[in-house]
Amino acid sequence: MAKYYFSTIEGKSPRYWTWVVLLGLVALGWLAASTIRFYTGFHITGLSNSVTWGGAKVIFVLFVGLSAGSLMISGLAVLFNQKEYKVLSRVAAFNAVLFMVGALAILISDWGRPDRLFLPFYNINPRSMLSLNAFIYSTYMTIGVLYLWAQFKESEKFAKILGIAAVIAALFVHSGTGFIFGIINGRDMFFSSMTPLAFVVAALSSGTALAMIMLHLTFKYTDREIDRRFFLNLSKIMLGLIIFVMYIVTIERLTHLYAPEFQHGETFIMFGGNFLNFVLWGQVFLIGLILPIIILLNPGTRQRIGWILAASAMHVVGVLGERILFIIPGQVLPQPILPGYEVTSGFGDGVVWPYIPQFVEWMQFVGIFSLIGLVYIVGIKVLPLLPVEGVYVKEAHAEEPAEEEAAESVGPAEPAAEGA
Amino acid sequence: MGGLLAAVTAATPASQLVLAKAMGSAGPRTKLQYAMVVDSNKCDGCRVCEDACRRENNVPLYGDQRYDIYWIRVAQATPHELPGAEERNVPLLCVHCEDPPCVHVCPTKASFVRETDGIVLIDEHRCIGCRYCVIACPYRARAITFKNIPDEMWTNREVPKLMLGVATKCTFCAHRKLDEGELPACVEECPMNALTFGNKNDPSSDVAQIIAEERVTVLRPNLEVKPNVFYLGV
Repeated sequence: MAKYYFSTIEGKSPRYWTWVVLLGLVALGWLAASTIRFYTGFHITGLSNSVTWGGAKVIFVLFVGLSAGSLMISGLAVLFNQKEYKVLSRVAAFNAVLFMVGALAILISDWGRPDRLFLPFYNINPRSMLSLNAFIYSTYMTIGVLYLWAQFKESEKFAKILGIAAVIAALFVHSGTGFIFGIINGRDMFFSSMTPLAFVVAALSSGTALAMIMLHLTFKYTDREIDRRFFLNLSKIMLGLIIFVMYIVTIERLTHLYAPEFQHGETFIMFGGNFLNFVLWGQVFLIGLILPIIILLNPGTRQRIGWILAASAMHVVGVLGERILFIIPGQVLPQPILPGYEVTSGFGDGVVWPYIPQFVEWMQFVGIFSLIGLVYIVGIKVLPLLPVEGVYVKEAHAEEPAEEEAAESVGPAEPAAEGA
Repeated sequence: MGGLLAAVTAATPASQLVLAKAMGSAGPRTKLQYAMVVDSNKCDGCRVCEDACRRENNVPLYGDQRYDIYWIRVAQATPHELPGAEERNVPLLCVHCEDPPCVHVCPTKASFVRETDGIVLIDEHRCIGCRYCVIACPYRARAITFKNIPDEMWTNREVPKLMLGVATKCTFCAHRKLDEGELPACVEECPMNALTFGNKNDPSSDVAQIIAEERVTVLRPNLEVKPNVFYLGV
């Protein structure tokens, strides 16, 4: 059997430690900002009593998507025995757990009372999506960790079973996250059965994009070799997914545009002369969808790794915009409490309420990305997540004894053995 | 395993509904159900109710519209695209739904409908500040306490200060002896008698009589959340 040999990275160079310190410091900014916000209250953020879910929620959903996407790619590769994609099966599973931890970190630090973290676990409300998600997320994390462990053990059987479980769990996790927003029937811009589907498809596409970017950067900085064909094949899958995302985003917008009830809000997002117009046309359609599709279709660029990675990065940015459009407009737009009337009041009824993230929120946003980066680079040093060579090793080289030798020579397969 | 079960239940919103029904929520209330009738024809927009509510329940007015809290507010409503139409004053408050979206979405059951009298309340000590209820409420009745309340705003020492970072809303002055005939502060102090409060299921109460005799409406009836604040002249 042909297979990849996984090992930890050395992680002794000054460059590595510079990154660790740098990311660590910025990640501390997240902790500091969250603590300050907890003790002083939300008034130092850009939130208001109209827009109570802000950027933190957007990043939460983006991270859940990247996590679910990563796990689905990894799980599907194992499931369908796509050996050449196993180059990413471990690191994608690790990313899935990592991004889920990041998502929960930003979510909980955004609560008014993060100190009551465990309350949802013993005050279950079966009709609340958030309450159910507390259990879905913890089940998902457990499956993710077990699945990663099965891969470390090189246990094909367990990896396969847990791979199936992981794909299903990922589907649940992101549908569940979509339902958080989709079931809010009091707000026109939220209520939609499309949300869970849109979330899942965008999760797959952005998860693929993220996997390519992270693998490329890691292989480049650790001077390892990776097969070009890996990127070329994966980019084709991503192209299909991006087109599917574009289809979903378009029909959702068009449906809203048709009904007079939604028209007001939809024209506001499309041509209202506000920041959301840039998010829709610039970030989502141009950067996130059209340019990547052109890059991945154009014969001159679709074979070049640099272009493929650029398209991936652009698509992740676009998906972030898609998340913004799912969460922010429904709150910015006034609620039709008195339909047929133009309403004003001291509480800001009938007003389009702006949301501008403040410094403390930016510290949280940048900090949580750094935290992810930090745990990732520490993770690949401590755990054997990456193949020594990202080139598919043919059968002839890889008989059983040779496998052990190779594994020994580069580093033990057991985690944490060579930790420090 | 419990997680898996929860995951399966989450698969469809329909199953949630079935589950919620099985657990005995909703259903018409036959005993005590407090309700209010707001007569917008009588309201002259003096905003005494807002002030009375602030004094009674220590609802803070920080001076920044972004996070000022209103348990009751008087909205000025002008009919859309009707030239010469008169502006109306419409007091808006929590409508204490019998099927409240805020209670359904609360992940900790911190929001609940009080069994004895149908008032929707928040357990401040159980609320985690996730703000899902603020999003889910169709009437913008809920707010978050964005900032610590200074002592000089703590006007009524018999009612605790609002807790930082958790959800807050109108309680129909549940701390008062409503069952002995005391009224919510806004109802008591309204100089125009535009607000009427009482037990909806007691045919002899003012509220029940107005509902029976006049053409009352509720806000956003299409949502079918069964509000208990009724409006005249909207």
